[in-house]
Amino acid sequence: MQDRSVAEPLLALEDITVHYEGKNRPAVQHASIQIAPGEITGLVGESGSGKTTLGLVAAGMLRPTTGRVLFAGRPVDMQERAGMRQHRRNVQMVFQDPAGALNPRMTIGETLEEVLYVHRVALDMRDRAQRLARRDALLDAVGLSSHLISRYPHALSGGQRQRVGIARALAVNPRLLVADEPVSALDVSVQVQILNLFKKVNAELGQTCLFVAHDLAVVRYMCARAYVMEDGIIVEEGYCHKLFSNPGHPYTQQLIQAVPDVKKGLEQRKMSLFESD
Amino acid sequence: MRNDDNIVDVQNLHITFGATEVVHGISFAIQAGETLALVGESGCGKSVSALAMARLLPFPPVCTVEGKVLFAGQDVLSFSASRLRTLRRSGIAYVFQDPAVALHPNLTIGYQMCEALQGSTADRKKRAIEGLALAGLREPAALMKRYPFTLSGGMQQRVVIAMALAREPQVLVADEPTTALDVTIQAQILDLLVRLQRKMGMAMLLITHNLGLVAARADRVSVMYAGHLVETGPVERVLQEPAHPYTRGLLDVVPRLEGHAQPLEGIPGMVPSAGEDLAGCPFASRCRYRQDVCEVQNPCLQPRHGSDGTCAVACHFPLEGGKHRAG
Repeated sequence: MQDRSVAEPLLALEDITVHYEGKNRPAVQHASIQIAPGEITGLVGESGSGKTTLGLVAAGMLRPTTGRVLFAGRPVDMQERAGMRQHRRNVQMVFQDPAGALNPRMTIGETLEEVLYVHRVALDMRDRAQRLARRDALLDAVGLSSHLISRYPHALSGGQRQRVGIARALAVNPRLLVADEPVSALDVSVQVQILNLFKKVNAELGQTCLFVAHDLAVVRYMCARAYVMEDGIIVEEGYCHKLFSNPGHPYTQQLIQAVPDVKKGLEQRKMSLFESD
Repeated sequence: MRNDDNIVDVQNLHITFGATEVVHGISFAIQAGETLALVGESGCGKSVSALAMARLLPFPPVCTVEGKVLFAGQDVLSFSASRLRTLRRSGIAYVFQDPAVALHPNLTIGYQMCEALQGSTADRKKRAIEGLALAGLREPAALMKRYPFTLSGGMQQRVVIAMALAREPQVLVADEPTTALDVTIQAQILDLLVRLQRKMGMAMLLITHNLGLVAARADRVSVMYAGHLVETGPVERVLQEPAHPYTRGLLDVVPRLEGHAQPLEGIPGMVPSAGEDLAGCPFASRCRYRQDVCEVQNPCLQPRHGSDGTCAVACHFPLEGGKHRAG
């Protein structure tokens, strides 16, 4: 375990265990993570590793069986509705499948307006003009043209939908964004556009982000620090440049080995040609 | 490129759904024992092209297939129903993306394995167990009695592969066979496919959007974009010196493990939707090297210089040495 602590984490999960009812073993066991303000922190693992569960705990959408959630140094009361609601306003989520995350019966404009309305954040609610101005600013921030306002989600491409998902998450000025596999449902040529959008939001707004993904190369590209999860347990953590060039845990090494890479693949080819001679 | 060794020879294939043409005259051929990778993003026509090889697409007027699909020299598009059955039984087998959907949830693995085989019950069972063992599954006899939902995704895909190979097909079509699986399982499944392919001397069509997978395991690669073949050639050449800006783009958009000093640029814009009326090159609107001619004239697939006809590219201004010529 290297680079153990962050000076003043925005969010700290301490000794979190999540045990789903009817399951033999907990989905997450004694996991602790810290998210530094202004940084994109990665959480990597394969399906079933518990990374999504931990992301939900961070977003206040799931009560852990045991463990503490500290937001800006203060414990979040996960048992109480008001505490959860406050936490959810501070933390917003971006989901993997933008088609499933948007209401098919609401236009893009309505979707964004609804969030502003529900959370009543920093706006005079009687002033619809203010709300609409905020809506247009959000669309602009995620690189969508304003003529999409009257469109329904089905009329948008996957990349555009994910941009709407990000705009909706940013609408309430959250202090933390939890993105759960935000690009794995997108085409490769669009993935980078969305990754770069996260980077831009991070750089320009100083948006803190927990980035949950299975693709190590993507996490390496996006994150300063990352946590690696296997079977509900955090097995390794550290700064990405060290973590991926010099992994300590065999599972991290295994994940790195498995990443398909053009350069590595071409080298493997040469090796196997020699073998068959 | 066209010769008698080709087990599959697809020529000028057009596929139309309703009034929308989604594949605009593509050609490719695969030799016995060879792996051709068909690479492209969703909606580019790679999966429907593969389905057309065994005529697994809906009938007209829903879907019309034109052109030629030669299987061992015979035109599949003119096959009778019974010849199609033979083709689908032992000629061409498919492995699809999601094994959970490919397997029947209410039937045991054993039942589904034996369904594909012929002979006495005992003989079928014996060969089914052998097939599962060949696909790298442990305790195949016990596995025969289990239902698909009790297996992990990787195991399910191994069962699907065992089924596809049970009748020793001459051609195996693997359509995104690992996209639904975890990365560590992905490599195992692909290595299994390649090993079995070499052992049985099959031809393989590997459909994927991941060039990293292509690099290690395919012999040749064809890149599709918006229903057109834009580049084709041996894997080393195409991946080391792509001539089409789209191929270059696909290589550049994938983050690498060693990290990046510069942010990735990505390919701007998005894939044109099927049926969009494009006069010029389908990639023109996203291409940074676009010139006037690209907007009005669609380039045809032409052999690349100094490639002995093994490489071809559809671009007015193909890259040289993987880079654009200045000026």
